[in-house]
Amino acid sequence: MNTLQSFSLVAIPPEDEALRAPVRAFLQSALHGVPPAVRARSWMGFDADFSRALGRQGWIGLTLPTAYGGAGRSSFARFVLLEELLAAGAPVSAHWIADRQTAPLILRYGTEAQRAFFVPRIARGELFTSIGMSEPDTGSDLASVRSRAVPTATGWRLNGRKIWTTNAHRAHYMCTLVRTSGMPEDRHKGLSQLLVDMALPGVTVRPIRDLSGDGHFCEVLFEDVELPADALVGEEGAGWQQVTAELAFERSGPERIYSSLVLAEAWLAELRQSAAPAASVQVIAGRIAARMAVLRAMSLAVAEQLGRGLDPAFEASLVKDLGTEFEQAIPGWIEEAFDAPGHPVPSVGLLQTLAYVTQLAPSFSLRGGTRQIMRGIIARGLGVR
Amino acid sequence: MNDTLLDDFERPLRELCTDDSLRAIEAGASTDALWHAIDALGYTDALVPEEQGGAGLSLRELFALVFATGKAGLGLPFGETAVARALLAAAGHGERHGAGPIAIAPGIPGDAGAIVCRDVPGGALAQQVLVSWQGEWLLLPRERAAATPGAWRPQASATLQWHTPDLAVARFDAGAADAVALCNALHAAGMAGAMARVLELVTDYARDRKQFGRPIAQFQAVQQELSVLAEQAHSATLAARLGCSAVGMRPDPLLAATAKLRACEAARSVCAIAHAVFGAIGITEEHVLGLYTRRLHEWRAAPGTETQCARLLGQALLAQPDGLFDFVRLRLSAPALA
Ligand SMILES: Cc1cc2nc3c(=O)[nH]c(=O)nc-3n(C[C@H](O)[C@H](O)[C@H](O)COP(=O)(O)OP(=O)(O)OC[C@H]3O[C@@H](n4cnc5c(N)ncnc54)[C@H](O)[C@@H]3O)c2cc1C
Repeated sequence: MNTLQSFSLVAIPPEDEALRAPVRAFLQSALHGVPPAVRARSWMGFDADFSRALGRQGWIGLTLPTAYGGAGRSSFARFVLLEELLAAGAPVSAHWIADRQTAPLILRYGTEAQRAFFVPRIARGELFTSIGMSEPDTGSDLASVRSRAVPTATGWRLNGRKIWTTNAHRAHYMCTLVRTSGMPEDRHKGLSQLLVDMALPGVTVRPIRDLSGDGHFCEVLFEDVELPADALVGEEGAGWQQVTAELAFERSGPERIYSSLVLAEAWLAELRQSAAPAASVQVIAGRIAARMAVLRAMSLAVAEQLGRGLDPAFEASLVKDLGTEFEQAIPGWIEEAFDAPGHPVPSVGLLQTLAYVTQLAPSFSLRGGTRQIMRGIIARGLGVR
Repeated sequence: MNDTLLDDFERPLRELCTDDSLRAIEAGASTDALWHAIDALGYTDALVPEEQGGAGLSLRELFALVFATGKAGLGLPFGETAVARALLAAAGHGERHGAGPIAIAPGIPGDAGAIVCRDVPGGALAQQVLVSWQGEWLLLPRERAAATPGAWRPQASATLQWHTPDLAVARFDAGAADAVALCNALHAAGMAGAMARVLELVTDYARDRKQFGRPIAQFQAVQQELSVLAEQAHSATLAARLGCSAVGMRPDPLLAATAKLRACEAARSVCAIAHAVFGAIGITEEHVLGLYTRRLHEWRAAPGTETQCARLLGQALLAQPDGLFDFVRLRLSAPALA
C-alpha cells in the first residue's frame, strides 16, 4: 500500500481561505430564518433564484477559465466555497451538477462552440443540467445502457428511458449516456454522451416522489427525439472513458462528508443549552468531530490532487465510502445522545431534521455509485481485482 | 526528513525486525543488540537541536520514522525515545540520555506517595521512563520500578510503580508538557504503521491462498473486506499525520486525541478483518499476524483510550462558542507550513 503518498496533509492557502468570509456573509443573509429541516436538504434543495444570485457573485464555475465566464480559481477556493454552502445548508442543487460535472466535461471534451454556448450560461446560474446515466435496468452496471441514438441526416434520433435523473424536470439540458453503436453486449464500446435539450419534442419527464415527500429525481422518456449533430460531446463511442473521468469529479467533493452536517449543528446548538452534558454525550460529540476532521483532511488531499490534474479515483472512492458511512452514522449517534441523562428535550425542528436525514440517509451511499461499487474500485487499486 | 529519505531508515529496520527476532523479544529475549543497532542508524536524536548534536527535526517529520517502526513491528519505544531525548536536551539534561530506550507515560498517584504508570507499551524493555507528574517531567529508571506484566505483551510491556518521585534521575518543569498527548500522537503513528503492514500481509495472503480452485482474492466478498481494511488503514495514517503535524516537538492535544481516536477505531476493524481473511492460520502462534494485532490492541488500551480521546474532544467542542464545522476547521486541521 502506498500509504505515505496516497493522502498528504494539505492546508488551504490563505488567498483561498479568504473567500470564506464573503461567502459566509452572503449566505447568512440569503438563508436567514430558513429552518434546519429545510437546510438539511442542501444539495438536494432547488432554488433557481438562489443559484442566479450566487452566479452574480461569481461563485459558480469558480475553477473554470475566465474566458468562459469562470473565475479561474484553484481547487482549494472551490473547496472553501462548497464547504460554506454545505455547512450553511444552502439550496444548491439547481446549479450543482452543471457546475461540478457538466461544465468541466464540456471544457475538456466539447467543441469550441459547445464551450462558448454552455459554460458562460452555467457560470451565470442560468443554465441547469442533469445527468442521465441510470436506466431502469442500469444502475451499477452502467455499461449496459440501452437508450440509443442513431445517426440521421441532421444529427441523432434518440429513443430510450432514463431514471433517477436528479432535476430532469427543472434542468434545461440533460447530459446523457447512450448507445450510439454496437449492442449492450459490447459493454464499454459504442457508448456516447449527448446533450439533450429538455424542451425538444419527444421528451417526457415524470418526477418521482421520494419517501420524505420531495420530488427531485425523475423518470425520463425519449421518443424519437431529433437532436442536432452538435449534441454529441466528445467522441462517438468514447462515452465510457468520458463518464469515468466525470465520475471522479462527482465522487471527490466535500458533499460526500457533510450531508448530515446541518443536523449535527442543530443538535449541538440545542445541546449547548444543557449545563453539563453527560459523559456519554461528550463522547458522541467528540467522535463526530474527530471523524469529520480526518475525513476533511482526506477530502482536501483529494482536492489537491484534482487541482494538480491527477486522477485520484482510488482516493476519491475511499473518501466517498468512508464519508457516506460517517454521514449515515450521525443520525443514530444523535438519537442515542437524546436519551442520555440531562439531555435537553429536542425541539420539534430538530426532530424533523433528524427524521428527514434518517430517512434519506440510505441514499448517501447510493448516489454517485454504491458502496459496493466504490469498494470494488478500491479493491482494484489494491491489486486484488 | 521526507517520505523518500525514509527509505534509509525503513530498509535496515526491516532487516533488523525479522519475524523471528520480533517473536523472540515478545518471549523475553534481550533487546540490547537490537536497540544498539537501531540507535546506530542515527535517528534517535532526530528531534534534538542541531547545536546539541541532533538533526533538529519536528514532530511532523518524525511521523514517517515512527510509522516505519510500527510497520516493522518494532516493540521498543523508538518515537518516545526520540521525543524524550529532545525534551531532556532542551531542559539541559542531555547528558542523561543514556544509551537505552526511553518510554513516555503519564504518572498517576498510587498508594503512599507512589507514582504509577499504567500499561506502558514497551515499558518492560525501556531503560528509563519520562513521566509527566504534577507539572513536571521526571526521568525515572525502569529497574527501580515494581512492574506488573502487561496484559497483552507480558514480557515487553508493563504497569510500573515507583514508591517515590525522589527516584527520578532528572526532573524539570513540564511547561505545557502533556504525556498523554505525546503518547497519543506517537502511538497513533505506530498504529498506522502496524495497520499498513497488516494490509500488506492480508493482500499478499489473499492473492496466494486458494479455495474452491482459485485465490480467495478473486471472491468479491473477500475483496470488499480488503477494501474496508484499506479504507481504515489509510484514514488512520492521515489521522496520525494530523496528530503529529506540530512544527515543534509538542503535539497539539486535540489533534493528538483525534489521531489516537481514529487509529483505535480503525484498529478494531482492521484486526477483525485481517483475522477473518487469514482464516485459522492467523490465530496460530507461529504466524506473524498475531504480533501486529496484539500490538494494536495494546495500543488501543494504553492511555488515552478511544473513549478518553473522544471525551476530551467532545468537551473542547462543547466548551467553545463555534459550531462543529468551525471547530473542526479551526481546531482540528493541520497547521500550514510557513
Ligand atoms: C438521491 C439520488 C439521486 C440520483 N441522481 C441520479 C442522477 O442524477 N443521474 C443518474 O444517472 N443516476 C442518479 N441516481 C442513481 C444512482 O446513480 C444509482 O442509484 C446507483 O448507481 C445504483 O444503481 P441502482 O439504484 O440501479 O442499484 P443496483 O445497481 O440495482 O444495485 C442494487 C444493489 O446491488 C449492489 N450491486 C449491484 N451490482 C453489484 C456488483 N457488481 N457488485 C456488488 N454489488 C452490486 C449495489 O451495490 C446495491 O447495493 C441517483 C440516486 C439517488 C439515490
